[in-house]
Amino acid sequence: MTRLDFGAVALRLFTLLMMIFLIFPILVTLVVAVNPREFILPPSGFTLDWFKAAWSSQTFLRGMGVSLVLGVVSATLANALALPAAMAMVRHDFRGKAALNLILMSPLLIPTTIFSLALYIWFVRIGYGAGLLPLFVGHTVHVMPYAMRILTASLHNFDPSYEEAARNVGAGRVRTLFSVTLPVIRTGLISSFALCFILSWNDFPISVFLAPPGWTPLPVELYSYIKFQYDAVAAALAASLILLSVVAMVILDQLAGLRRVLRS
Amino acid sequence: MSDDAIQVQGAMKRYGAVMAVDDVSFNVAPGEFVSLLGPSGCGKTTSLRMIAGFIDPSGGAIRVHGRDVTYLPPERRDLGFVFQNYALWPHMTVAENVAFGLKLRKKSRSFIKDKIEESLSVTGLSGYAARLPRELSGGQQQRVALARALALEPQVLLMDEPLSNLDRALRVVMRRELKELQARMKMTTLYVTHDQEEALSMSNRVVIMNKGRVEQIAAPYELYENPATTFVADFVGITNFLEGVVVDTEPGWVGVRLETGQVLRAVIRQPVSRGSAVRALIRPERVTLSTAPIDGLNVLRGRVVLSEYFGAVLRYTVRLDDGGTLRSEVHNFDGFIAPGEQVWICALPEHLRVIPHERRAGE
Repeated sequence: MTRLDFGAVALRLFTLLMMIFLIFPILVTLVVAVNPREFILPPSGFTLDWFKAAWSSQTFLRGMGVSLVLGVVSATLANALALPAAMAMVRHDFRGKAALNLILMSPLLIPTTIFSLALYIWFVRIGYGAGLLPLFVGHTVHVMPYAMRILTASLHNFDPSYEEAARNVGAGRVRTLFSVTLPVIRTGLISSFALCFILSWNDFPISVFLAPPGWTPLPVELYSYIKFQYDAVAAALAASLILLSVVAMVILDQLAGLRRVLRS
Repeated sequence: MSDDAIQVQGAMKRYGAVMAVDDVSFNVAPGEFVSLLGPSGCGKTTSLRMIAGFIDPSGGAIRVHGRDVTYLPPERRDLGFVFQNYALWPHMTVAENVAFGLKLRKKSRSFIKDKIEESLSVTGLSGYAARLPRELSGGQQQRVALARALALEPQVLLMDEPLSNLDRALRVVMRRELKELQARMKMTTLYVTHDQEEALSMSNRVVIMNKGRVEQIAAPYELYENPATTFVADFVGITNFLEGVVVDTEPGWVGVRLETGQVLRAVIRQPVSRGSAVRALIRPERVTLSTAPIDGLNVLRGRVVLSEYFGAVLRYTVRLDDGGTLRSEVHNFDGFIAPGEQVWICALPEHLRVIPHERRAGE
């Protein structure tokens, strides 16, 4: 019995340490963001001035807008492309299926920096360089493997007889897709979209290489800011984003059942 | 033949080198209940799915009320389909499931409402309209699937093993309800099953399939009493086989010599030539046993090796003196015959059927 208890206690201790390890950076960010004196711990008071500064900065607000548009567009495009690809993969056997799957998943295997550089060189070769189109293409290609993964899993659980039943009662292919297939795999679609959006929102290397002037996404703006400024505005912005993420997680969980998605 | 509700002509489906369905032809008359019966992998479900339009045939033609539908998409065939796993759309309520097809047909709201009510009451589901499929039992889900199909008043109802996911007691109840409903609505039905009891008890006619081919098409009674092939005889019910050679023929009758030299008299449906190898078959309930010596035609001798009592029926396994085994079933019995006892077995000529030995590839 005592041995067993020791094991249980050790496991709890280990779990606790790991949790602290994971949460500590977030905690530091939150503390720094409300600390009146820049980066000096322990905190000497409480202030929301950094937040005010962060949320009144035109640069950050514009970066946030860019990131938002970029995330929504690339997540939408990636899912629109990944859905038919995943359908073909799940439902049909054809020559070169394994090879095609590898190609579609390859952005996952290549380090993002290398991938971004290659993309940049390629766009320069064909005469674009950095620009809006390269930026959106880069983000879409980057997040698409994740959409493929989630949608493939959803479609594996999708019983094709749902579609046959719809066709049988008189629905054409398009009607069947919108009235039956998409609603049934709704959970997968929402979580795929959310994951793609988050990946795009957090991306740094692709944007650094491909974003044109005037279209700098938030992570790049943040990076250039903290390179030269030694105040806690960046920390306040980061803290805001963390809180927003928490809210988004709760909403997503209500909407799609995040626990189910994470388990699959 | 053009007033048939369904006409399948030489339908084929090839998967690589395998013929899943190989030159299958049959028809279903209006109001008729026809079953496709056979072991798994015999091509019965593939045939049904070709009729529904879920699978493109590799050859042949399918007509519904004279209209060629062979290459029409499923949504333009106007056929009801009930799936083995029900395939109720999980994001729609019972009422929405039933209404979906009606809405596609642009029916008025009041018409749809009446139709939902009607088809749910026919299937005994009034009061369940607002439920989601996952809140229903298997039997209830199958009723919804049926209501969904019936609401559209299809020309023909196709059913793919609709009862096989239910437990046995419920299956028997549903089987009766389904048959009663089908007869009352005079709904033309094509029903796929591997359960011979279902096929025999519900159908007007049964199509027996094996290895992608049709073995026999007949009414249940004909199928059991006059199987056309050994496969049918073996698949439907229990049959005793006696191997022999034809030594004597006259219209309707043959003499079959067994290995022991004994000649049995038997009924024949297809002509056979003298000297050909045949199988004589007899159902266990037609085999009578006697512990006292009997004389006469078609009497064999043997010894009881096993007697099993099941209440309504008593089953004997008898070892014949020449080494073969026969099974006998007795329903009105007055005493057991103990294992080891000598018995005289009577197989009346009119109960003994002869089937030519099939010589087929793969056998």
